[in-house]
Amino acid sequence: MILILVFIFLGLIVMIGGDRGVVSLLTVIGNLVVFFAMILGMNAGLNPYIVTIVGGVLINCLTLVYQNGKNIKTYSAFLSVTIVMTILLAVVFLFSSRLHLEGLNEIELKGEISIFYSFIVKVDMHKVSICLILIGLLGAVMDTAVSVSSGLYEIAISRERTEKELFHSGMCIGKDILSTTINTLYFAYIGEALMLLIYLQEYHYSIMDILNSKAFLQDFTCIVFSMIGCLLIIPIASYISSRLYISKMIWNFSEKA
Amino acid sequence: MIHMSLQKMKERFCHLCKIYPTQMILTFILILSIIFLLNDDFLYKTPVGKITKVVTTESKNVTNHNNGSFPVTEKAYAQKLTIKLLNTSKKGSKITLKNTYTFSQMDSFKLSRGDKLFLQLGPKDSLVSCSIQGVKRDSFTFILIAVFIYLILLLTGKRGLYVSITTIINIGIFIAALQFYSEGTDILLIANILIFVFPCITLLLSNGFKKSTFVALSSTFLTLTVSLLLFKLALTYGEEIDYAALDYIVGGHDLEQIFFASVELAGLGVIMDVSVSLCSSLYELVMKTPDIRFKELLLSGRQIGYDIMGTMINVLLFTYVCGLMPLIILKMKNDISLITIIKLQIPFEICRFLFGSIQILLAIPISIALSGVFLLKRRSKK
Repeated sequence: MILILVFIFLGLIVMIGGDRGVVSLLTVIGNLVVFFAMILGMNAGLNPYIVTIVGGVLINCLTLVYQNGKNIKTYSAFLSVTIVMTILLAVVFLFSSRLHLEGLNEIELKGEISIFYSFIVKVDMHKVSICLILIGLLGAVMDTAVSVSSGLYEIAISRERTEKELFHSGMCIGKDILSTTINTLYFAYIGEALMLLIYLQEYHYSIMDILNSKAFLQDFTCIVFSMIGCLLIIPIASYISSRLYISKMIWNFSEKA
Repeated sequence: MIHMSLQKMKERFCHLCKIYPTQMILTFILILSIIFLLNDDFLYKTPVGKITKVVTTESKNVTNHNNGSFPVTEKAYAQKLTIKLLNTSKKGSKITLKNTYTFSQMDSFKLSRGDKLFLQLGPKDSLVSCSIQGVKRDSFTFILIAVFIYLILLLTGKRGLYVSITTIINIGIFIAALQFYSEGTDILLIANILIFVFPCITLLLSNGFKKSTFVALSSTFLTLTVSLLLFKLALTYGEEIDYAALDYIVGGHDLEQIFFASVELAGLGVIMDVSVSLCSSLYELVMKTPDIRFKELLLSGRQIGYDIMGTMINVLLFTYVCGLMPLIILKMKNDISLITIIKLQIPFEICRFLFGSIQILLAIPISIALSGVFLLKRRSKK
């Protein structure tokens, strides 16, 4: 069944996307390779934080630079993503140290996993849990950053504008895409969590139980952090893009003169 | 000196309040709610304790012999916790408990000072033979949600309010639907109603009653139908998949149906995203250049489609795949190769990702075609 889906996917991406589709396909494959390489790295005992930072930068380069080409739009998106990820690293670290979402959750532990597998893996799951939240939100943050920076670029080249105007337009673009991004994340979450929520209902979890349950929160915090990331990137990407574009415009102008 | 700077700070603060009154009020509410949430223990009937002191000692090493010829050894630790009770009649009294964890923390966790725990007191609320019931996580969950709402209101103002209201309504509908399911309604029927109701509410509320919204809505439904037909085809003609590998199985439910329903719902967001982006940009284009030809519309639509396609697929990739990390590491350390894990153990995540990407791709031509038909037809009538 997966094979059929793979064929449909490949056919469609080449048919609809053309050359750009092939580039997107290669990016996705590259990202998957980086992702599994990260898992192998963590498995081999490297520090998860370092693996994540290296992997994150690689994914960023692949998605932004390879997919969208080397230009000022990509540069500004890259810079804003880096800043937001650094901020979120601190925030996620702070929350994770109190939320204790590491390892397997109570429902997984009840299942057959605990019979067949040994839990001694010599990889610090607390660090892994922080890393996976960060990687999970990377996609959504990059998406918003690209939309804001390339949208602003079109506005910046259309006619002369001040930095403040550009920043304002960037915020407007951000507001427009925000609702759809949040919906994407929300529906992806409820699709993923449907099984879990039916399970929780079947076993008569109360709302307080659910809000304290590791199984629910592992996915839920991931999604909320992604949404927070999408929000934070809007002003930062607008600010950086407007600064960069204005300085570039001035530079171009002086070069012409 | 200190007095002067205080005065200055006060002035600056008043100045800020004057320019940004709503923002300051929001910040104030956020800070208040965080303080409240960090001290909400009196609301609970279950005893809540806060760890005030931790003494961690190393105990013996533990070894995993499942990993073929390379046994994995790691350290195990024992913790002696001093816990202060924060509510119930025993408020303020201290107890000591033990906790053990291993280096990897797969099925245990390292506790630290300041963590809050739900406790089980001994018989008749005595302080002997207490035990830990679980970590108290809800205050941080609520703080996370509060921070999110604060940011959305602060950064996007009125739009943010609409988005939050839409999301809250959607969550309400979803909870109601789950309720119906537990009372015995067929899950596929519920999912089919939901995939009709959700886009209508979301698009109409967040984009308003505009022509482009209706085009986006029709394109959403058409894409959903086409993609679900494709999925059904793949399900019937493809090899059987083993639904027993799904997480969180509850006995007595039709797993295939639940999986199908979850796939139906998961795709809604991306389809709406692509349709709205395309339809509203094409609508703007038609408004600005009324004598545009279908071919030109097609070309610019394709350009926009290219731009969103790649990053959207990446959003899906990371949202679905990242949660798998701990399980993959666990299995690899139990001597299962990465290839086997990908082939046999995680088909559902791959399935969801592939199907979501197919939906994104399908939504692009369908949105362009429908915008062409609806937006251009209206003009030719004039």
